[in-house]
Amino acid sequence: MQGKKLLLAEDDQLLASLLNYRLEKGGYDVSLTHNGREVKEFLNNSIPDIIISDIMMPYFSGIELIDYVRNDLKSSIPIIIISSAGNEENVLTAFELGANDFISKPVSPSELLVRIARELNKV
Amino acid sequence: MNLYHLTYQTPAFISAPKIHTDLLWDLTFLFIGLGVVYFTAIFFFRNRMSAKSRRIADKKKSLGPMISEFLFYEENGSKEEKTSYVHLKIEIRELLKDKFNRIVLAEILLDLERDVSGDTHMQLCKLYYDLGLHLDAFKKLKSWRWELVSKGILELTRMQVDESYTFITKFINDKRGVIRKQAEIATVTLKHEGINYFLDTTRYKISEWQQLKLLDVIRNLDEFEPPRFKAWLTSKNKYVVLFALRLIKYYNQNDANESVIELIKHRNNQIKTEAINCIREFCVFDAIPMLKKVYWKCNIDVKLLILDTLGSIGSKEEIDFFKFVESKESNFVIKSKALSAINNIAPQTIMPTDGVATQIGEVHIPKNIEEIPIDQSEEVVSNSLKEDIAEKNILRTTEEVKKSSFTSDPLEELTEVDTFEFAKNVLDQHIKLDFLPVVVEDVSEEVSQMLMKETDQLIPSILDIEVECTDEDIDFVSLAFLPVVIEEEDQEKNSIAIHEIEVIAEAVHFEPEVKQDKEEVRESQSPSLTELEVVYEEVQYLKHDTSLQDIEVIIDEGSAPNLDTILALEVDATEVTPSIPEDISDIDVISEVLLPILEEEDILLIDLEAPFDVIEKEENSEEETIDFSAVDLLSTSTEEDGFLEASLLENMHYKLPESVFKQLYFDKDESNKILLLDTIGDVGDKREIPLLKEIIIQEHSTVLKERALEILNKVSEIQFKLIGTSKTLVNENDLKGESIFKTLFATGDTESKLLLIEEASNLGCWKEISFLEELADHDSREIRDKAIVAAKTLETRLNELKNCESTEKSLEANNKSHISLKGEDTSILQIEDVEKIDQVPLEFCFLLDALEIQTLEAEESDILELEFELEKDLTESIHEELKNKNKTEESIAKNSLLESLLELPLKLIEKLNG
Repeated sequence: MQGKKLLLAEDDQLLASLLNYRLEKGGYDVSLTHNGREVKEFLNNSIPDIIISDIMMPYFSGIELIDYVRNDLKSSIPIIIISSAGNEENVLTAFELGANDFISKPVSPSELLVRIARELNKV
Repeated sequence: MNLYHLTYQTPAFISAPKIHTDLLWDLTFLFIGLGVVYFTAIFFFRNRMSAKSRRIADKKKSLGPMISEFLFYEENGSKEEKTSYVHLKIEIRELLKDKFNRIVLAEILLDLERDVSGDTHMQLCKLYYDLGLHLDAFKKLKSWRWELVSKGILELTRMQVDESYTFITKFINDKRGVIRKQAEIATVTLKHEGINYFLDTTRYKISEWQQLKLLDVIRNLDEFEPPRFKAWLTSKNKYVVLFALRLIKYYNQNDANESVIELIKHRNNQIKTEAINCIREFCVFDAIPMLKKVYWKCNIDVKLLILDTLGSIGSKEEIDFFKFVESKESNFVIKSKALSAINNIAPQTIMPTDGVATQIGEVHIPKNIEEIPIDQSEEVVSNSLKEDIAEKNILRTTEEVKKSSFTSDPLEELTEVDTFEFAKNVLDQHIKLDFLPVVVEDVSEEVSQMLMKETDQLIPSILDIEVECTDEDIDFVSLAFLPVVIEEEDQEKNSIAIHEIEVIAEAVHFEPEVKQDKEEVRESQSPSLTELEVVYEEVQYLKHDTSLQDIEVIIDEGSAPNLDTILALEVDATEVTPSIPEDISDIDVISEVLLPILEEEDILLIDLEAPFDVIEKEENSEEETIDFSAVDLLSTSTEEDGFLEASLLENMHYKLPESVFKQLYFDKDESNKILLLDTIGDVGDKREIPLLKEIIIQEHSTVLKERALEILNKVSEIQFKLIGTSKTLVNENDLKGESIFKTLFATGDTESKLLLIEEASNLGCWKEISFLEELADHDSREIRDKAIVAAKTLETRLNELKNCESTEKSLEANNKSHISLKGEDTSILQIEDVEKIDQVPLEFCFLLDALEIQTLEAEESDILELEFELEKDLTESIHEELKNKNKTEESIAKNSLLESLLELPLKLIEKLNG
């Protein structure tokens, strides 16, 4: 998985920083974004190998992001969503729109790494 | 004077105080000053707080990666990592000297604690402890401020600082509720034995919410072994007892039954209720006497619970108690509960009485019910035959026969039972011989019979099939298509019965010509089948020049008594297609005879369901004539079968057995109609197609229309669709593919688009309606309006065209009906038929004119040729129209789009011609 481009969209700065550190340590080329606008801007310039996105984000939610990637960009890149517990409806919607996997908060960074690797292996 | 003063000069009740103006000014300035101070203070503190939060956020940003590095440090990492880690440690030690940094670090760790799990979470707690941040939390515990103490307890609990347990337990009985509750949770969380300590020591009320929170904490503890909670059933704190009971129930600790039974007697209803719940959960039978004892002292809710519990765990011995309760209690709910408890223990003990008639004698049987007379001779005959047939296993249930019975003459004349009745009974009750003529007379004439099948499919044209049925054949051959042959004299009566017998399963009905000598009437009444003589049945078909289809069934007089042994079936047919139902295809077909006929006649078989029109049997006629005029014998393509079926269904010559739902449906209101439609959807078959179409056409309710369409598409092999503003029913085959206007439309400018819409309305078919409907949502209002108008125009035009075509088909069919079997005058329309053409809308007269001319000119009724001529005429007329248009629009004509427009009609016609 060395050098795989990964877009991490998480509005919580601390968690984003923590995950960013762990993912970079895992060998990924991580691009960190903190809100929907940044994600959109990033995606307009380049398409990563995988997207890790929180569902609840300012400006542009994770659900909208999935919709944007699948329908507007017509891209089938793997998308893993991070959701708070008790947010099952959004998770279902995300899966309906084309999310590949889902991990709930509190996040185990080790588990996330495994899931990312699995999704990238599928591609 | 005094009065005047009193009246007009009222005394002043309120007089303004004399305040010095300077004082007023002083007060004004004072309040302005206070306002300024107030707003300044707000501004100052707000800015201070904002600045602090900004500083914290910035600090968090800078310390965040540092924390991450600490969290994910691996001891087996590279030297560089290790060096970096050592530097970080030094750096963080420096930082920890600052209080603000410690606060920020604690906040970061607490924030992250919420978001991470697994190993990282453990590392986080360890880091919190290693950095000595728990010491700050301990300091908070010593604070006099309740919020700080509470915050300290929370921090220590979340970071799982076990050392804090002893400090926190002190707050369990704190008088400040928030601290107490926080301490309770902390105590239970931090150590497994915390729950014991808490239950032992707490003196305060444990609220319901707190109990839930504590239970949630307990069940999420890793490797938690719950203590025996019965120990706290003796607690002096009733809330502890209650919580203990709930925990006993939750952890299924049924080792405290005696204590629980004792608690039934508790004064507190909550504890009593919880104890009863435990008893019920654990089925504590020993508690039954106690439950009965305490029952009378309880309130209604507890009483109900006791009855419910006794009902579930009690035995029949408790029935007396329940009856006693039922008799003594005045509360209706308790009475009902007691009765239902009895029924729980002994089902059906208490029967419903309310609203039930007590005496059955109240029901009066109407006197005018008449018994249907049954002829004894018939009974004897049928019984003997029953036995014979049963032996050969060729039985058929009455229901099967009745399902596909004839529909025509009334049954009023069915008073005398004679031979045909006997035959009918045989067919109805026992034999799967619907297709066979039952011959009860001397063999004097041949009977030709249409070979049909009672399955969904129908043999399209059968010419001269010759089949000999052996004993074995009858077992598996469906004989539903053959008529019953009876004596000539009783033809009228016979026809009634024949109508009840299914001759052709779904599509074809015909009445067989039946002949029988008068002398044989008596014989026919005889009980033995051996005394019956089977002669014939003859059916003639109207179909071009083809020869008659003959089915000959002969039952020899005096032969074996069983039907299957005496039957010899001779069937001639033109062709048996693969679609012939299996049981029919088992019949021995003489294909050698058939194939040459086929080639000669150039008749291609069509869909098995092709309808046949039966000409009513004339009284004096000796032949039965079946009209095949409604069958498009020239249809060769299987793809066209669907359309053929659709068009034929529309044709009134196609007489499917009438739906049994028809009479029911139109008398109902909307809700019942929906129910009936559902029933049709469940049990209906192709016989419901005409009814469903009628519903779709006549109904105003969209719901009913759509439901009927859904069912129609289910029962029919063709898919229909409602299209247009008036929701016209259209075969989906007509809608396949995309409108050719669509592609052109996409590339053109507004003017050409408008022009295209106009052309689509003039020349388009059903596909164009969909296309125009799509345009109803177009951005341009001009196009939108034009499209709506065009769609309506086109729909009207197509509906008229459709009516026109159906009229033409009916005319053609009628024409064919008058053509003799031998093929004379097959192409000339009858005068009356031509007159009917006048009813066709003027707009399409050219179509019928063309058709008429073609029909007259045609030597043979070749529909393809007719269509060719028709299309040719159409093409010419369209060309003329287009030329005229072109003249008026010369300026636009140069446009390449118009050139393609010119080709459109041709393309359309080509497409229509396939």
